[in-house]
Amino acid sequence: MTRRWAPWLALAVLVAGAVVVLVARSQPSGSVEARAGRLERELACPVCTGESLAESNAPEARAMREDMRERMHAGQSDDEIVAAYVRLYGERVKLRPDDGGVALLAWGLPVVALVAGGAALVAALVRWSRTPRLHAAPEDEALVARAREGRP
Amino acid sequence: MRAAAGYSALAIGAAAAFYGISSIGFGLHTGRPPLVRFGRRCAYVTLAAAVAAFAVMEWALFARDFSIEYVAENVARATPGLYTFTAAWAALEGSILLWILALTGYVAFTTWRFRDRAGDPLVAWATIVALGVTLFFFVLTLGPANPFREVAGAVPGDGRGPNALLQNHPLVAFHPPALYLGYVGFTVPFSFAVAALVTGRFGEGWLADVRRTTVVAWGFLTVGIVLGMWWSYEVLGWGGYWGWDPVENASLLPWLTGTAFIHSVMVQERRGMLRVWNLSLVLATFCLTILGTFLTRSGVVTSVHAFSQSDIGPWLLAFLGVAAFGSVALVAWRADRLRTPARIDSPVSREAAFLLNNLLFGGFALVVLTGTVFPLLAEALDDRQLSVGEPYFERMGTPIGIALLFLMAVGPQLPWRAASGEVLRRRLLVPAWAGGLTLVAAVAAGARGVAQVVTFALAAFALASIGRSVVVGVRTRRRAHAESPPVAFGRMVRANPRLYGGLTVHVGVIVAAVAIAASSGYVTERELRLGVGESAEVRGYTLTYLGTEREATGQKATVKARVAIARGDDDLGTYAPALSTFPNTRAAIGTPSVRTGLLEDVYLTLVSSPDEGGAVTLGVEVNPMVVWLWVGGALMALGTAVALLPGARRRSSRRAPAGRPARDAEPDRALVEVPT
Repeated sequence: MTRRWAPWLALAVLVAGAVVVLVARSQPSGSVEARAGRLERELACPVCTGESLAESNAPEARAMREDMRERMHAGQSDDEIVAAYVRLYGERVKLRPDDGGVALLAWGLPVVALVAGGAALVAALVRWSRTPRLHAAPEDEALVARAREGRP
Repeated sequence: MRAAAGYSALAIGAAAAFYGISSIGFGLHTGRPPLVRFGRRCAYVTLAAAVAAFAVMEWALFARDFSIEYVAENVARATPGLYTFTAAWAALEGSILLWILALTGYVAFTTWRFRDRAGDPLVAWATIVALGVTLFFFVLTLGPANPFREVAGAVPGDGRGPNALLQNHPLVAFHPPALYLGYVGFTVPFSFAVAALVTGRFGEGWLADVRRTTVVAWGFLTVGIVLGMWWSYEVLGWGGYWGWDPVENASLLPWLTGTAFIHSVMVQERRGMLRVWNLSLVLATFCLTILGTFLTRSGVVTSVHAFSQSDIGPWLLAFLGVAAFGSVALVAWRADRLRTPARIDSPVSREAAFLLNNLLFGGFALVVLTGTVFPLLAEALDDRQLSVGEPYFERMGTPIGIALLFLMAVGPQLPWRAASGEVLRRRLLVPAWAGGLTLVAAVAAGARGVAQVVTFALAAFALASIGRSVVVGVRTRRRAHAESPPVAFGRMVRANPRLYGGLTVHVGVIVAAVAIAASSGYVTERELRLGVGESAEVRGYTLTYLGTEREATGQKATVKARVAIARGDDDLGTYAPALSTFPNTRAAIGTPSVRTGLLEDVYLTLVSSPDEGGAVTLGVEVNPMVVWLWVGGALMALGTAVALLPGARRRSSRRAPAGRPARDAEPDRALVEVPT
C-alpha cells in the first residue's frame, strides 16, 4: 500500500510546498503603479465602447489614468477613487458590478447553477455507484490484455 | 435593373423555401413520395437563388451602382477591389445575404448527401425545418433588411465606402465568412434534432447523421473566433485579442455549448444515455447562434461589432422566441420517451468525465450569457446602467478554465465504464509528475501569479497525458505489426482519426491556454515620446525612432512611424506602426506593428502623429507567448480536419436503404449494458 502511494505522496508534498511559496509571493503589491494598473482594468473608459481605462487611448481615459495616480499619491484608497468616479460618471464606469441588488444576480446565477448542477451530478453518481456492477473475472481481464497487445 | 434582378432572386429563394416546406409537409401527410422528392429539390433552388442574389450584389458593387442604397453606403469609387468584394458583407443587409448563402449551401449539401434516404420521414422533417430557417432569412431580406433597396431621390455621384475598420486589413475577407460558416452550420444538427423529436426516432441514428456537419461547423466557428482574435491583435491595435465585447461573447456561447455537445454525444453513442441532454445542447446551440445574430444586428448592445441600428431586431427576437419555446415544448412533449435506463457505473470513468466536462462548459456558457445580457437585464429590471467587463469574466471564467485543463489531463486516460485505482495510478503518474515538476520549476524561476503558474503546470500535465496516450498507442502497434515509429504513428491515426483528431484539438487548446495565461499575466506596457533619431529601452529592447512616411491608397491616407528594434547588438529589424484616416470616419485608425517572437512579441502602436518638431508618441508592449495562441488555433483546425477523415471504424451510414428502420432501432443493449 505505502509503496504504491509513495510517488504520489512525494508529488503532493512537492506541489503543496511550491503552491505555498507561489501564493505567498503572488500577494498583490501595494505600490501606486501596481494599484493603478489593477484599477485601470476594473474601470470603463466613460467615452468609449466597451474599452477599459487600461485599453483606451482616448484623451479622457489618459486624463483619468493620471488623475487616479494623483489621488493615490494623495492617499485615497481604491474604494474612495472608485466611489468618486461613480459619482462623476455613474455606475456604468465599474466593469465589475459589485454592490447588492440586481448586481448579485450576475454573480449568483452562474455560481448557484454550477453548484446545483455539481450537486445533482454527485448525487446521481453516488446513487448509481451504490448498486453493484459486474466485476470482470481474471480470465476476462487476461483476454482483454491479450487483445490489447494484439496477441491471439 | 440590378436591384430588380437581385430582389427577384431573393423572392425566388423565399418562394422555393416555402414550396419546399409545403410540398414535403403535404407529401408526408398524404403519403405521396413524389411530392417529398419535389420539395427536397427546392433546397437546390434556394441555393441557386442565394448564389444569384450574391452575384448580383457583387456585380452592383463592382459596377459602382449607386442607385442601390447598400452600394452607395458601402463602396466608393476609390475602394480597392478586395474591399469592394468584401463590402458585400460589410454592413447589415449584406451580412444577411452572406448568411443566406452559407445557409442554403449547407442545406443543399445536406439534402444531396441524404438523397438516398429521401423517403425517410426523419430526413424529410429535417429538410422542412432547415427550409423553414432558410425561409425566415429570405423573408428578412425581402422586407426589413433588403440589400437591394434603391436610394430615395437622386443617385449619388460617389459612395461612402466601407466602414474604416473593414477596409483596413484583408482579414475582413476571412473572419466573417469563417464565423458565418460556423454559426450557420449548426442549423443542420438543429434541424435533425427537431426532426428526431417530431418523428419520435431519437435512437442514435440522427446523431451519426449529423456528427460530421456538427464538427465542420464547430471547426469553422473555432477558426472564425481565432481569426477574430488575430485581427483584433494584429490590426486593431489595443494590444489585446479578446475584449469580452457582447458580440465576441455571442460567438463564444455556441462554441461552448457546441463543444459540450461534441463531447457528450460520445456518451450517447457508446452508452445510449443523455438523450434529452444532447438534444437540448443542439437546440440551445442553434438558439444561441440566433441570439448572437440578434445582439449583433439589433443595436440593443453597444459594441464595436454592432451594425447600425435597424428594425430587424424584433424579427430576430420573434424567431429566437419561436425556436427557443418550440425546442422546450418539443423536449417536454417527448420527455417521457426520451428517458433511458442506462446509468454510469463509476464516478471514475470516461462517461463521468464527460458529464463533468458538460457541467463546466454549461457553467462557462451561463457565465458568458449572464455577463453579456446582464446590463440589459439591470436596465430593464432596476433601471440602472451597469457594465460587465473583463474583471467579471476573468474572475468567473478562470476557475472554470483551470478545471477544464485538469479534466483534459485526466479524462482521456479514463477508460469507459469504470477504472480501477491501479490503472489510474499507473496511467497518470508520469503526466502528474510532469505537471508537478513544471510547477516547481516555474516557482523556482521566480514566476508570480497563482492562476498563471497553475495553468502552466496543468498544461504540462495534460500535454504529458496526451503524449503518454500517443506513445502507448505507437508502442502497441509496433509490437503487433513490426512497423517503424512514423509508419505506426500514421496508421494509428488513420485507424482512429476521431480520437487522434480530438487529441490534436486538445493540444491546440492547451497551447492556447498557456499563451492566454502568459500574455494576460506578464505584459509590460510603456508609452514613449521620441524625436527623430532618439532611442529608448523597454525590457531589454532598444527602440529607435527613425522618422515618418506618408502614403495614400484608395480612400486611405496613412502616416507610418519607422522604428528600429534591437536587442543588445542584435538588430531585429525596422517596424512601422501607422495611423490611417478615411474620409468617412472622423477618428484615425491605428495599425500596430508587431515583432513576433517565439517567447515574446514587441507590439508597437503609433499613439499620435508627429508634431511640428517631428516627435511622436509610441505605445510599446512586450507581450509574452502570444504567437502560441495562433499556433494553438492552427492545431485546433488541423485536429478538426483529422477528426473528419473517414476512419476504419466508421459505420456505413447514409447508404442504408430508405425506410429500413434498423438504423434507428435501439442498439442491442444486452451486449453493451449491464442489467440493473
